[in-house]
Amino acid sequence: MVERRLPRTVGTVAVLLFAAPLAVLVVQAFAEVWRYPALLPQRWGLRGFEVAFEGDQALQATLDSFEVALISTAAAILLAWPAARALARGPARLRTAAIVFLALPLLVPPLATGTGLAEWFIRLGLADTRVGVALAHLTVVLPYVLLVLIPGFNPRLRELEEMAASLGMGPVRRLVSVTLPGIRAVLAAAALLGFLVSWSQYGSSLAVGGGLPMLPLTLLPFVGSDPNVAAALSLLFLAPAVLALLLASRAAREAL
Amino acid sequence: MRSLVASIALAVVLAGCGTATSSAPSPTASNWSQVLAEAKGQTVNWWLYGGDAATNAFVEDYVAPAAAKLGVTVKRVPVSDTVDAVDRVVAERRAGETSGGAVDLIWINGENFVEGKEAGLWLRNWAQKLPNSRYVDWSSPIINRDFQVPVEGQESPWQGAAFIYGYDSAAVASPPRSFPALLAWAKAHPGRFTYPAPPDFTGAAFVRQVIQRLGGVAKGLRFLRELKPYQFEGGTQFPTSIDELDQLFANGQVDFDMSYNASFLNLGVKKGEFPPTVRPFLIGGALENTSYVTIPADAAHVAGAEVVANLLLDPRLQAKMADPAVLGTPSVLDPARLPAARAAALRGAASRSPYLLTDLGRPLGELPATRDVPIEEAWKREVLR
Repeated sequence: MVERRLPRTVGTVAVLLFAAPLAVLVVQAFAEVWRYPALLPQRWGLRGFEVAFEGDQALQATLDSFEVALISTAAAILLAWPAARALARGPARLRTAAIVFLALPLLVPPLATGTGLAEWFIRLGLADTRVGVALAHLTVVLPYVLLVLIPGFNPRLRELEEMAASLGMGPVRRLVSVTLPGIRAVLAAAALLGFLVSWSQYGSSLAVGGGLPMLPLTLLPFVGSDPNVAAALSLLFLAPAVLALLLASRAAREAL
Repeated sequence: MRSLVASIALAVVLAGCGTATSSAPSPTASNWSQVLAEAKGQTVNWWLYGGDAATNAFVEDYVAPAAAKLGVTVKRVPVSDTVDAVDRVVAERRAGETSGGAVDLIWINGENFVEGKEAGLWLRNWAQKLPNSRYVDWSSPIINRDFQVPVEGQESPWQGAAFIYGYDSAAVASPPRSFPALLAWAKAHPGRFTYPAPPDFTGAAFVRQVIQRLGGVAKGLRFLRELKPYQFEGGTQFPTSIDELDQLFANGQVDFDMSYNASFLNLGVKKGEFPPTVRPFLIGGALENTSYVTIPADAAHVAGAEVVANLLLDPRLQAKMADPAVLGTPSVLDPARLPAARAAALRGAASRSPYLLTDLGRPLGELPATRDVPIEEAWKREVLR
């Protein structure tokens, strides 16, 4: 475990750095009146949640975002798996070229890619559906997932797989009892990252989704203009992310 | 940045297929009962700014139920910037769509209306055919021109806007009511005034008001240069958005706030942002402006969108909107065209709240939208530096 290797103070500082903003968020979500320079809110209440959940949009948006993030992450892993495997074993130059090529959509402003994607998704009849949005997210999720997966297919794993093959294990057995356990931690990290990237997409969700409720679309307008509502929605926004983080770290820990 | 991308996208549209649909006939039925029949069962996707809880509640609690009675479902698509809605319409246009679009109605702003109008994105000649449009004074330049561009029936008004200021009566006895008085006040109280840096919408409006009031760009900018050293942080820093200025004002770090939403203090007090001692005031006459809704030419539910736009002009809904307990924003209806009781209700709405002004003074029309960028550049060059 990481904590055991690090000095206690470093661990504490890290936890505080991570937890302090979250604590502020929780307080803000229940703060109806909270004006400078008071340390704590002058009035507590549920207004943030009442506004956030008016008209059921936020709940629908959460479900839609969840579904889209699951589809795009699963699709990204399916596509990135063979690619990462091949690239990890191929020449380094090819690997760099492939990564740079795939990362191109990340280098342009998301709004520009959003409009361009929307145009082509409309042409192809893929716009305005959850599957369409998941495919649009794939363009940004895939490079991250691939990047994380590549180091997983290292020479050590390859040796283990070859050993298993020479012992007469079939491809399915090899996958289940050698490859998957060997790559589990990396796979969990890739899935977590992929999920979070999709979960927080704004530009392509709006342009391609054509009004499909998605959580970042509901949340973003309140950021800045109404911190109370934004904080309440952020808690909802964070919940699956924290859950995914816990699941991923558990999967990674078991693999070690 | 966002509007730049939109401009590029629109430029592409203009260059590529600007004339493609300009001759398309308006699908509007001349007969309103036919529109109503067509609208029945439609779901109208209304794309509008989603960051204001009171506006969202007005749509959910009053507009949607009124539309439901006519068999029309209103679906609010919240955006953080109007240009997001325009981007989608542009994408549809570039994909060659001429109908079935995902955007039925947009709460549009002047800048985006003008760009979209030039690109031929909007449905033509429908707004003045709405039955409730008879309550609107279309001869008024505040209604028939949006940032000095003729509306030509491509958008329908729904909410009045006036540029007003706020102060905290617990901290300031009497605020300055002219720009020379503001300068004198700033000199006497250094560091207690600031405005958001253009291109922030509110900051840009402030600069335009100064320019209009003081009689020209040169005089306006000279005034702002003189004001600068007495601003918050000695003028070395400007808030980059109106949200930042709201925060400074709410914290008591500056003495004045400003907004193009005539009800911003009312709504701010209601959501706990401002203390109940805040009060509105004017510096000179208020810049006035109108909020409109527009219908993209390729909208899937044109009839439904027209029904909603018409409802937004319904005297009862306008009275709800003007009610300080709901929104408190000025009505776009002309009281002279309303039955006496309804006119009185609209006129009396503002007097029910200490956070609203009953008299907005002699209105100041807006400068043409084409002057926004040159003014912003001149401000950056000569004031911000």
